[in-house]
Amino acid sequence: MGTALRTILLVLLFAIITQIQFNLDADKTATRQMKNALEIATHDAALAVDPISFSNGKIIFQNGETVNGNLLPNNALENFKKSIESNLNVSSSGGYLYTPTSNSFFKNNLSLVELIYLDDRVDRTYPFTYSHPEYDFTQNIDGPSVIAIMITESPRWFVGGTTVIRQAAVYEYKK
Amino acid sequence: MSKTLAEWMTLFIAINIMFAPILSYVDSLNREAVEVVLAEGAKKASIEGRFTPAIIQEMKDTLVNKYHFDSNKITIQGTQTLTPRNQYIEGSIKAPRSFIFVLDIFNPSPSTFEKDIKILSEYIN
Repeated sequence: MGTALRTILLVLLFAIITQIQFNLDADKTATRQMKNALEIATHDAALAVDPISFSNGKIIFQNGETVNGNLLPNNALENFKKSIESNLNVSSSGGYLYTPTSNSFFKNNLSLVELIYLDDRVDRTYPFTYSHPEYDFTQNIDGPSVIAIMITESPRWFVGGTTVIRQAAVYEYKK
Repeated sequence: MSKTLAEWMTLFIAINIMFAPILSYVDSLNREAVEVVLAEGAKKASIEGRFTPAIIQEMKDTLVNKYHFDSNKITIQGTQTLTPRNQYIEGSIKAPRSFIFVLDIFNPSPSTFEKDIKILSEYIN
């Protein structure tokens, strides 16, 4: 009887430790994949630069706003969306909410909560420190930059509470 | 007879399950290494406009020397033609998987895994 109880206890302990390990591993993998994908996506978004402003020595990202009377296409968000969709196996219609496809590692929706363009449409002196009021994000900015912050719920394998994963990435042109 | 059989079966399953967590952790770390090497390689390839042989060799060396992959079993593929700015460069790494179950009594899992990546080129003539 004693042996049986001890065995059951040991098996239970093993099961719990395994569960914790697999859950933490899912957190870690999701964080890493999101960070890597965000870095590539902000890079792609930052390549969408308005050529007219560029010829005047200004870097202005094509973010769908009107600059100097010209309506810019929203290529930055389009590039960002394409990159995230193909690198994380998710799909999106608007570019701000991503739904995992069946072969994605993620299970819950990913939301792009911030996509910030710090560029030359406003006169700035570089470097300066940018900090986001809400998301505990501070970064030294050396030039025109694209900043993205993304949130999702960790795709944990087992029951054990939910963890929210939040990652930010910056791509900047050095001035 | 039936008791002996049951004990052996338990032993087989117990050994398999006992080592599964640590071995799956190793598998996860292998995937991490491949993903990070691929992402860093893609960033370099973006500047050059293609996966140059030097970039591919560097990625391979990192995987072999730092993470102890078998160099004959890794295949790294990437866009070789010079890609102009704002067009996509693709790359992928195929690497062997380590085993998760010590005793091979379950359905075999795939023996390799593959990661791919897509990034816009920065190359200007």
